[in-house]
Formats: sequence, C-alpha cells, structure tokens
Amino acid sequence: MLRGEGERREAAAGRRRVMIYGALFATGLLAGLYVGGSDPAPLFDREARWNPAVSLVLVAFLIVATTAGNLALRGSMDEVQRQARYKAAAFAGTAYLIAYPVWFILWKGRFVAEPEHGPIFILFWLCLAGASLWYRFR
Amino acid sequence: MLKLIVTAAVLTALPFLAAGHLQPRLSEPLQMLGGGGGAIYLFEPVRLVSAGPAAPVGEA
Repeated sequence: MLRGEGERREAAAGRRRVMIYGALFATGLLAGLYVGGSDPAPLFDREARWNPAVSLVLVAFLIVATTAGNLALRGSMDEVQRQARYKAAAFAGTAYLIAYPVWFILWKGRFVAEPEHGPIFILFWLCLAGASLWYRFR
Repeated sequence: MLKLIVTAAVLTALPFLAAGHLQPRLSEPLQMLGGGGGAIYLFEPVRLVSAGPAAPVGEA
C-alpha cells in the first residue's frame, strides 16, 4: 500500500529515534557490563572504592553520551511528547518526595536502616521509565 | 565568599534550567543510558553467592 509523504517521513523519524535509543542503551550496557564484570568489589559495599580513572571515564562517558543523544534527538519532539516527559518527570519526582521522607522518618524511629541513595535512585529511574511508557502508549 | 555565592546561584539555577528547558530532551537519553547501565547489577547475585554468608557481628 502506498503511503503519503508525511507517513513515510514519520516512519523514518521513528526508525531514527529507535536507533538512537538503541545506541544509548548499548552504551550504558557496555559500561555497566564492564564495571560490573571487572570490579571485584561488591556494589553494595559502602566502603568499596572504584578505580578513580574508571570513575572519571564513566562520568565523561555519561556526559558525552547524554549530550550526543540530546543533539541527535533535537527537533524530533512535538508538544504532546514534551508534555508527556514533563508529566513523567513530575510523577517520578513525586514518588521520590514521598519515598525518601517516609524512609527517613522510619529510620529516625529506628524501624529501618538508614536511607540509601542507590535504591532511591533506582526507584526514581523505574518511576520515570514506567511513567514515560505509560504516557507514551496509553 | 564570592565563590560560595556564585556556587549557590549556579546550583539554584541548574534545576530550573534543567526542568524548564533541557528536561524533555535529556529525559530519554538518560533513561536509556541508565537502563543499560543497570547491567552492573547483573553480577551482584553471583558475587554475593560466591562470597558466602556474612560473618555475624563480633566474629569478624
């Protein structure tokens, strides 16, 4: 079936977005596999330290990849998508604003261990990713 | 003192800049990188199992 020019352009833009997302995911995956596989120190050990050079390379990796992804995706977002991202970020931020004080207060009452940044970050990421998918495909 | 004021001003401005202008464009690249980077946790179960049970407090 022949498609219009607009549909073809939209499909091409969609394929390009998927390729950029895939490249970014692969970049994170490689960094995660490298550090996870090469560093013998347990991730949940607070006292464990990483090689400073690896830390600096990873920070540079994150900044460069985020900037490149941002530039590659520039111009590919309409107002509906922009609003969806604001809403997803607001959802994740609200989850954080509830989860952290509850954990903090329970810690002060000696019910649970001290709040840890790792699980809180993972919670934030999961809420952001989940809400992004929800607002995108609902 | 000036350094402190400049640092505080930059740190205060950054969230507003990020939220108002950059957030929609950075959101998905950061999610993708973070999702892939989560692979770092794949090794933890193996590491924890191979390390064995932790010694009770006072016996280490």
